[in-house]
Amino acid sequence: MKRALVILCLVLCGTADAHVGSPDVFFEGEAGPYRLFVTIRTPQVIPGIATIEIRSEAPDVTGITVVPMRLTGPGSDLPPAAERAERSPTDPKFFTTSLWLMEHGSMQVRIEVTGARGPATLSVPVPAYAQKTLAMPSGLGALLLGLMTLLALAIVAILIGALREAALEPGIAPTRSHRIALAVISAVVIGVIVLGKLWWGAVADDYEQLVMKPWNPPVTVAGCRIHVPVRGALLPDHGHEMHLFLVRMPAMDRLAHLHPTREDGGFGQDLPALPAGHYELFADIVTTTGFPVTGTTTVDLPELHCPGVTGDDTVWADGDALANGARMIWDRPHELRAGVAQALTFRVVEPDGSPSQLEPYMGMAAHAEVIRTDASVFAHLHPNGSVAMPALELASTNTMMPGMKMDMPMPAISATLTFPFGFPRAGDYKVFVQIKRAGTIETASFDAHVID
Amino acid sequence: MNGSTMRIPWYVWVSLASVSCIVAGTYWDISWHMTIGRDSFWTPAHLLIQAGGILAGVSGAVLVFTTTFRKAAPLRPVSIGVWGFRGPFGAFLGAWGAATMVVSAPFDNWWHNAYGLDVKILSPPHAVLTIGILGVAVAGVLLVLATMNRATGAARERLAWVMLVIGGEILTLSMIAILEQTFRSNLHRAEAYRSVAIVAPLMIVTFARVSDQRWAATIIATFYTAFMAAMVWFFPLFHAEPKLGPVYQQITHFIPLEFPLLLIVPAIAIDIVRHRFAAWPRWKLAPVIGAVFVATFLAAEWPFATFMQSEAARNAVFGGDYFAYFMQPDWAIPRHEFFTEHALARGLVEALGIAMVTSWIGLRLGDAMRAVRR
Repeated sequence: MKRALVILCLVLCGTADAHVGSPDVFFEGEAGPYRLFVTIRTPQVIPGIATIEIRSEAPDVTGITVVPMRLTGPGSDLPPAAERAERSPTDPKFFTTSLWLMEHGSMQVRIEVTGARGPATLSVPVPAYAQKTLAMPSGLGALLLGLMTLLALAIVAILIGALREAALEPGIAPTRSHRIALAVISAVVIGVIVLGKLWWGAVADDYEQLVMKPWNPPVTVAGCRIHVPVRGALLPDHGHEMHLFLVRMPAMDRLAHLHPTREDGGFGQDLPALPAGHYELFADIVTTTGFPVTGTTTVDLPELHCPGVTGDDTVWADGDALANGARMIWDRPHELRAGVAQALTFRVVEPDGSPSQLEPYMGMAAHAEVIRTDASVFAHLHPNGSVAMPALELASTNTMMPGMKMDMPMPAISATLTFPFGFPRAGDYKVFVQIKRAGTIETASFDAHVID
Repeated sequence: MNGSTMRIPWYVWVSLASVSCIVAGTYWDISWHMTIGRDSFWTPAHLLIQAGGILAGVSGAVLVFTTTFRKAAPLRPVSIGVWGFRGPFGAFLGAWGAATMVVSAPFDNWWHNAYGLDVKILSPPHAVLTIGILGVAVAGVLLVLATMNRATGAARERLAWVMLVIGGEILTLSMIAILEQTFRSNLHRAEAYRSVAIVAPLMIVTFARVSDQRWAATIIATFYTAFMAAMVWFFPLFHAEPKLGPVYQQITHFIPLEFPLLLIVPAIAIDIVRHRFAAWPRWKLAPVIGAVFVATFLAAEWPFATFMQSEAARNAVFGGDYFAYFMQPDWAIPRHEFFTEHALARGLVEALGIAMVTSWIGLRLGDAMRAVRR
């Protein structure tokens, strides 16, 4: 556990958070011939219990087991006894189970599937970290305080009774009072309770140090140049070590998706032309252990008259539409409920209603960013879910592949895009979906109202 | 019935069973955590510990209620009064210990929710549980002790043996409590000797002082040695595998705790010193016992720890290659390395001072215990 934290600190020298306000893992992928939608609801404390929900696309899955392992290095090759997932009695394609996550850092849940088409395996990376500590409910606190007082009074009474009579021969009545002993024993008992409380506080403080805090990099902007300080080695994600998102708040009417490159002391990037305003920044990185981290901060920018974007960078402005009259349509469910894992489905269609032809954008069919309007939630999604791609590579190979490129040749991309995700809590969100068509990166935005 | 012809009362056997359950359950529970990892309220090890608490709590309550409400209760003349109730000292303490164990359960449950499952033996709720267990164990001692102190002749001799067994069990429990400090990789560091100096002289000297046996300290240490060694040989016979991950060690059977420390050596020395200087007052005897304890223990354990890290100890007899599933390969313990120490001499001097103090406390406590009649 300490090792994982040290590695994180080497990179960030502070605290961090995987995604922002969205700790659960949503993943859709193939275990051999079986397509699975996996949701891992991470515990608030570590060690703690994660809840695993797995939906099979096909009905021929007969059994699923899961084990927790480290993502890389020692602990990634010896599985514990597998936990069998229970099949839902009402939905035979839905399995649930729970799993102890014992250590902080980059973990994986290895899923073993049995079914009509033979056995298969799927590994899903899980960044395990303590999210917060819980306060004691007042009722339980009062109960325990009462019981502690009773036990303290009782032990004082028992010890005084023993001092008074325990050494007397049978039948002899006590004669001495033990006021001094009463005072001493009471003081000792109170002292033990006070020391216990101090110890409790020290342990709680220690634990508080393990709770992940937001990583707020001290970003600097000079003219058109932005600098994000980061130390240590990182894994490239879609060929880029950092994905930097700037969102103009509160209207969320501008989005820049940039890819700063290494420079002295961190990462640097020439900003594109942007209107003046207050911007929320989200910096996505992945440590060498496969642990995804999102840094958050804000900057107030003057109107920037800078050169346009190049390469994989893109800027979206409210009102932008897809080129040539094409449209992106969100097949919304009847309602969006917080905590419900679902596939967010979008279709890209030409003006005549036919499916558009999409190209890979940084090796993926599409990218999506889900941002709550108060910036308290940020999730960077792909069609396979919320898992960082380098972590997924590590999970599938258990070997480090520095410098790997994700923009490998892909089969033809469907114009129907799905993003497995669950909105973490109720509120208003903006969903940005980014695709590439005819060599151009395009962004569509959608408003989402999520209810409890 | 006079003291020499009396039968051993039922609550003596219940006390012995209670302490035995707690010792065996505690050992099993730690082995469970080293081997399987995941547990619940209902694991066999937990049930054994709870059985110990229940035995003490129920028998204590029965003794208190019968002594309080039956005017002709046989224990009434040898009872103490607490809040209007009457009963033997040990009965009250047993009931209190069991109640404390019960109170620790909701505290521990909340703790796991608030801070996660504790991976250390001692957390605040576990400390509450330990205090409860300690209450139950001491209660068992007191019930046997008071009965023994009132008995004479053959009955006293039999009770003295029960007492020594309980003494051995409590020494074992105390040594398990400092397991983390005395793991083999720590045995060339002062911390291990300081920890042992806190626990072992206190327990050994106290129970030896209570007993009339010439070799009482040796018998107590022999019990600890035999129990811990037997468990090293016994536990690996049973299949088990980790149910928590990550798993860093391949495990196919229960992992026992450490091979016993060589407390038998200082225990023999303590018995010789006790016998040789039997007439000395406590203030004069305690420093000698403390010094003899540290010197003989250090002389025996230091080279034995080196042996335990060697190839020769990696077998079923010494268990030198048994490691918990969570021990990472680059840790010192599975690499058979000692932790480094930078202040050994000062730490050993501290251990010496501690042993002298705990020896005095043991003598004083032992004398006080010899006076217990109720």
